[in-house]
Amino acid sequence: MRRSIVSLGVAAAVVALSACTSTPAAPTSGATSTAAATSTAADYTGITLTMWVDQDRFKAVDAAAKQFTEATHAKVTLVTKDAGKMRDEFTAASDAGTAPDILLGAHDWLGGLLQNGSVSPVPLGDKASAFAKVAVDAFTYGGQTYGVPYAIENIALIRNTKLASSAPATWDDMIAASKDSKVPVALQVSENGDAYHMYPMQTSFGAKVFAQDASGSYTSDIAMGGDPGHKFAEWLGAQGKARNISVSMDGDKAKSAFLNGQTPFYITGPWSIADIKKAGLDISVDPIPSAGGETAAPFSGVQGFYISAKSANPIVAADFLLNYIATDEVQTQLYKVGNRTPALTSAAEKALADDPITKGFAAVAAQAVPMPSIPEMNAVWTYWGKTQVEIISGKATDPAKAWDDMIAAIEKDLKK
Amino acid sequence: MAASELTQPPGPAPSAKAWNSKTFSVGFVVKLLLMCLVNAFGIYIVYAAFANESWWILAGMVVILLALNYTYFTNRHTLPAKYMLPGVIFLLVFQVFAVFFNGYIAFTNYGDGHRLGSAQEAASFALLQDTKCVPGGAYYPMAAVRQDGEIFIAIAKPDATVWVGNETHAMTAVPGAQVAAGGRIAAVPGYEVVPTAEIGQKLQGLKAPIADQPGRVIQAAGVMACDAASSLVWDPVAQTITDSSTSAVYHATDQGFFLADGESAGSHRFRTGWQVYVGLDNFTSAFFSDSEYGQYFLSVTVWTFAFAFLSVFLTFIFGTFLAIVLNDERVKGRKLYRTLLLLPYAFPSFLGALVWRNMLNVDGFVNEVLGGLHIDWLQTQTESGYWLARGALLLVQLWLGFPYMFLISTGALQSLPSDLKEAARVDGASPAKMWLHVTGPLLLIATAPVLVASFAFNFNNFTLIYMLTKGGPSFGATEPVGATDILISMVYRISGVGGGAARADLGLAAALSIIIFIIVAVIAILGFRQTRKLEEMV
Repeated sequence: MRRSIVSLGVAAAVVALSACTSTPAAPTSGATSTAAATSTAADYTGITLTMWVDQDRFKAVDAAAKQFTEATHAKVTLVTKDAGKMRDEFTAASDAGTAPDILLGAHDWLGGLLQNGSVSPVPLGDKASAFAKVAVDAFTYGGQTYGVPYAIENIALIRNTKLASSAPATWDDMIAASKDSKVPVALQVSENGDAYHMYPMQTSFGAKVFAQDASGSYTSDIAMGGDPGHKFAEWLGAQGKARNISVSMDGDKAKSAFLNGQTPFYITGPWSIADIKKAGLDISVDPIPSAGGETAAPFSGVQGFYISAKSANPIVAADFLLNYIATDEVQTQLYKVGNRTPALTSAAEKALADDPITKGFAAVAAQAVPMPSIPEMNAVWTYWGKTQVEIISGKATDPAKAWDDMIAAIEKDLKK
Repeated sequence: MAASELTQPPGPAPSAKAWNSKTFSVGFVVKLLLMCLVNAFGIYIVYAAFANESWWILAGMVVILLALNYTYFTNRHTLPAKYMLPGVIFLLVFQVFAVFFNGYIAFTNYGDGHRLGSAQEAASFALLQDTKCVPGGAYYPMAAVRQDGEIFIAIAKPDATVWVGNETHAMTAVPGAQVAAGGRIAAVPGYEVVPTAEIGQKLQGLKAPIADQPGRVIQAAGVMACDAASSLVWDPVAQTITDSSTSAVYHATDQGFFLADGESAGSHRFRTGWQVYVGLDNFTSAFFSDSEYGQYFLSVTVWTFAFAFLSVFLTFIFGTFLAIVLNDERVKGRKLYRTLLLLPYAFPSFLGALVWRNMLNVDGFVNEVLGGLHIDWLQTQTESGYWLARGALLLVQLWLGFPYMFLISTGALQSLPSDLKEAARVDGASPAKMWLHVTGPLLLIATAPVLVASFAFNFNNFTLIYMLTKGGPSFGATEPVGATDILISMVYRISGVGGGAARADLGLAAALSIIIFIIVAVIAILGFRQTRKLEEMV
């Protein structure tokens, strides 16, 4: 079965994004429709839109909501939800008929949301060209778009420039460079594993999670088995034994280790930048060093807004998202909150122009591969993370066999 | 007052009547006010149910309101009902409904992939997904318009002509329409423009065929309308979706998804299914070892019994021991000790569990005290690690639970009749014999109901498991349950509410919770019967 996310687009889009900074002649057709919309704003008196956002992004979205209310008289009720629980709560609310009209979420939720029939298409129309292609592709399934993207994110290597003067080329270089530090590298694992943060190391051995067809779309064939997978598993076991990677290192511990100067290296995404800036560290954003010889490619994820299939006013919701959220102003505000590269090309140009950190992440994005969004990913994440934990902790004495067991279990689940 | 006359019982004696009306007047005003509030609230619910077209809720609420008003405003035969009715209503609303709903879910495949209500809903969703704007096609400003109660979609073409149509009428141009700046359709002759607030979701479903282009429709796309095409046709009578481009026919199966001939389940095209009745499937897959969870049902059940029993046993023994010690008048500072011992009880149990979880992890306080050990007490994934985690769980449970048992035993010991002890002492019984034959049995009789209830509580002690170990350490990376999972935490995992389940399966979760209910009910009945026997023995 063909999957809709085109990986080639990532590289293409980012090249385009960085090109834009030097060539201001790039198309900016999307920006013009904002003015058009406000001058002919529809009157939605009596309509209330409900929207779920997380605490971090509440302010930026709230500003857009106020503009919308002013222009169209529609009320927008923002509800703050814990980002980690939002998807499950949304699914439950959708069944109960109490789902919000709009949901802020990641593109890899799409498969599951579609399987449950809980989101509806949002054709972007002529606005589609205003977004980075990779962002639109991420929210596209079977040729239909299901959300308005707002930001692209991926992890990279954050380096404390005081503790390490140059970017390491390989994993071993990095470990050598931090041998005087208390922690070799801040890389989060936690009890249930974190295949997302471990993925660049895995891809550097050539073990991609799913095979890709000629157009770059994911197929449902597992591609992380065989020799590359075994090599990665063996490496992971060795790193666990050497205590370079530790299961007890969770997200909070990784962050505090870096902020307290216990390690010069931190593998994380743009969402950690705000805290790092607050701590006043001098940092550089570098590509993730390769462990297995090939390019260390992290996942790229796209954040965006979904419209519920049960929404009473999908047209109004689409109007709000397309004409009030997908504007330079709001996208830039959202960018300032999470430091994720804006999906709207014109807003991304500005962000890239004035920020070396965003540029650093964008450079790594050129190597990134899109995160699959098929419904079965739920099962894949669970098995994948737990197996890595077993290998790192040394419970799996034969890493290659544990890896094969994991692939067998995933394949069994995919066939269900 | 007409109202007070209404409520007067048909009392014969005038003096009694006067006495009645006097006391009723105050009580009656209060009653009237309360009933006004209840009625206002009830009528609001009826109104809201009507607006939402929830006929069952409407009917139920009307029945409840009638019953309430009848009960409280008449005096005939309704005295017992006056005390019973509020409780019965709350029981119906909050308990019976939930129980029946749970029972219903247990016989369906409700869960991820099967959340929609019917094949009809799944088909409309498939069509919604499939109807796509033609690539590179035009987008038009749109509006909903109405003629004789029938809704149409209207679009404004770039040449400022307005076209109108709906599913049964192909798009036709309407001359003389007014298009405002930005393409907003202001007026269409012969039609009334419907405000967006009124049309809501229906606008998105509106579409109209284009006369000279078969298979093409005009439909809403975001805030605009576009030329769209779908190759799918839904036949509600035959319950099939036909793809006109490949002429494949997808039948609604009784497993709750669409399947074409020759297509294999698991790689089928339409992933969005609906709920169907699956009979006893959930119950069989809960028990039998060939299913994902079934293979663990037996071992998890055994551990659940062990956990519940040991929790009660250990806390009771320890709590009673302390109670006996501190019941002896020779102990000095008893009040202080008693107060200190109650501290864990004053902690909310989830907080206690969280604190213990931190103390028991690899870099935790416990390892530090033991001299810099590196033991993961709660999550070590080895055979011995499983037992370590279970042991640690029981120890934390002991810490959390003994003060309660201590309280109960202290109370029971202090209420034991002292003459029995006197008599035993006079008869020359040794302290051990006195304990074995007098104090012990009496204490057991007094505390047995509490022990049974405590067992039932711990059988479903989700909070502790969830806060302390989340059911871990896992039996393996690809296994869905862990060593400290009890039945109720396994149900929680299966339901997918907390995330992390490969597939949220609410049907199976509901079936398992019914099984748990039966187990607990049987134990409680047996336990209480045993208690009664104990009472008769003495």
